[in-house]
Amino acid sequence: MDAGLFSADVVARTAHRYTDCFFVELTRSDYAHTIALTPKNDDVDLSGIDGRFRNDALDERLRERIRAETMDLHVSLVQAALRQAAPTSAES
Amino acid sequence: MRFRRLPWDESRVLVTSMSGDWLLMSRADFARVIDKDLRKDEPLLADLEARHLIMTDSAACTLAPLLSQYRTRKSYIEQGPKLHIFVVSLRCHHTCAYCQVSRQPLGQSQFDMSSETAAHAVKRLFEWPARDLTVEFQGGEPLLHFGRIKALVEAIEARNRNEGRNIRFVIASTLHDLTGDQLAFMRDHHFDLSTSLDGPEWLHNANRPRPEKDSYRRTVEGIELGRKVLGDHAVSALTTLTRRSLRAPVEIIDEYRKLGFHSISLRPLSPYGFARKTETRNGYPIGDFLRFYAMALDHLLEVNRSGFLMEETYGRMLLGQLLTPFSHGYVDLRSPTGAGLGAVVYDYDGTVYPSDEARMLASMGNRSFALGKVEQPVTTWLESRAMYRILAAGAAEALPTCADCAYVPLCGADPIDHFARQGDTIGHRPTSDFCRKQMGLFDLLLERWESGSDRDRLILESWAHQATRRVAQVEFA
Repeated sequence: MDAGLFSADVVARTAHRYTDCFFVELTRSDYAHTIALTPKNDDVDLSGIDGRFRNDALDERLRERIRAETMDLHVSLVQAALRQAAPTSAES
Repeated sequence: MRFRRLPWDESRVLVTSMSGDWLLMSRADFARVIDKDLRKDEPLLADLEARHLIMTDSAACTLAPLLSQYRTRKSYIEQGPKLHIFVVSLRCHHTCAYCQVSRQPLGQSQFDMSSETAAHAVKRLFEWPARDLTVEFQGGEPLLHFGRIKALVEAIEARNRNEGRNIRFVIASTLHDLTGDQLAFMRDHHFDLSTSLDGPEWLHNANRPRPEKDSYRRTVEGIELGRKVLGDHAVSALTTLTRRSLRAPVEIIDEYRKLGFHSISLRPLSPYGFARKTETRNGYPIGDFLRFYAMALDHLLEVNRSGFLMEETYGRMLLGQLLTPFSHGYVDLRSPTGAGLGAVVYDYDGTVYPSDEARMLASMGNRSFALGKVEQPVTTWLESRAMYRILAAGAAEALPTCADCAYVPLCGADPIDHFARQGDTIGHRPTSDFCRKQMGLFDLLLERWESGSDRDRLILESWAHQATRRVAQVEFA
């Protein structure tokens, strides 16, 4: 996969989703990521695996963009919302 | 904002906000949202803004409604544990192969809660700040040590004259050998009864054997007696699903209908106690449970369409999460986790656990999730290594894979379940049965709600609203 389009983090997050059925090996050159998926057993469905992985990687790429834009705001919102939930003392 | 491709239509996505508001849209539209390509006059833009999925003008927008929604969704963390489980005895007259608590034979009274332990547990109960407390008596079979239950209720009520808490009592029992005196006491103290009914007679007797082979008859008689004295509303039942149960979704539901139940709980087996030992015989992959649940849901919708109102309790909880902005006390659907923060278990021997599952693990020899002993103050339990370990893996939003999941604002974290199944409190989501169950059921309910008839939608929405009306009620894990 093109290392200019997909970050190592995106590839790793995508590959992690496949660790239920596959052993995963990731390598990287200057221009490309190489992903080796080895089925854990003979029953693993391999149909369209290449396309599925690429689609999932695109989803992860979108998630990466959303995280980059909203993470700070998200953290600030959670802190503001839960500030009141800090325990004080028992009412008894 | 998080998203998920819809398994039943990969060209569309579910998009959720941090507070659990959501929208279904085409993936192409979603790509335009991310690329900021929406026109200002597009209805989709207004819809996204109204649901706090995007903010077009940070100067003009207020975040107050989103904060309020988020607080509402997480309101369960403000008061501490509301569910307090007192295990008064481990003795039981059943020999269920899937027993999750490693019950003990009838004559073994050393497995009964002592008066000293009970006195300490009552003291600890009132150290928690919650105004609404549910005190649930469990076993083994709690009715075998009813004297302890009476003493506990009297001690709790005496203390509560000064405390002024709202306290609800529940017994989780087979209801076998229920006596008139016991029922009179329960009526006077406004008890609810929760029992186990696994389905029709052949299935219940096979799952819950007694030497006399009369488990079903005794349970049904107990249900009738309980209803007569405490009222229909006070008696509920739930099923535990063994492998043989999965062949009978229609029969199980029809049995509940025949007995006049308007609610059913379809629970998969848990990996604890005797259930672990008999897993090869009774267990099944979570995919089989999901296929069973889909058939059961179809039949439940048919039963409701015929005019008999009946809900499935776990589906009700998930729909409540999906279709309303409110939180509820269901321990499995909380983040931070409900273990120790939503529930506490006082075991017969004075050991305190953060959940029933932690107690079950202890009965299998792993006591690493014990919080402490009833002689110690609550603050000692909260500072225990077990609690730190639970909290470190207890926020779903911070767990690998969950962090990106579109369902995470509606879902929960279960570190103890993951430890029991995978040997690690954080767990490995791609192989997690907990995750597959939650995702599978959310997907199924959302798909049925979206693609169902108007009538089916109304039925599912009525379940969701039931969930919000029962916020103060306990839901059993």
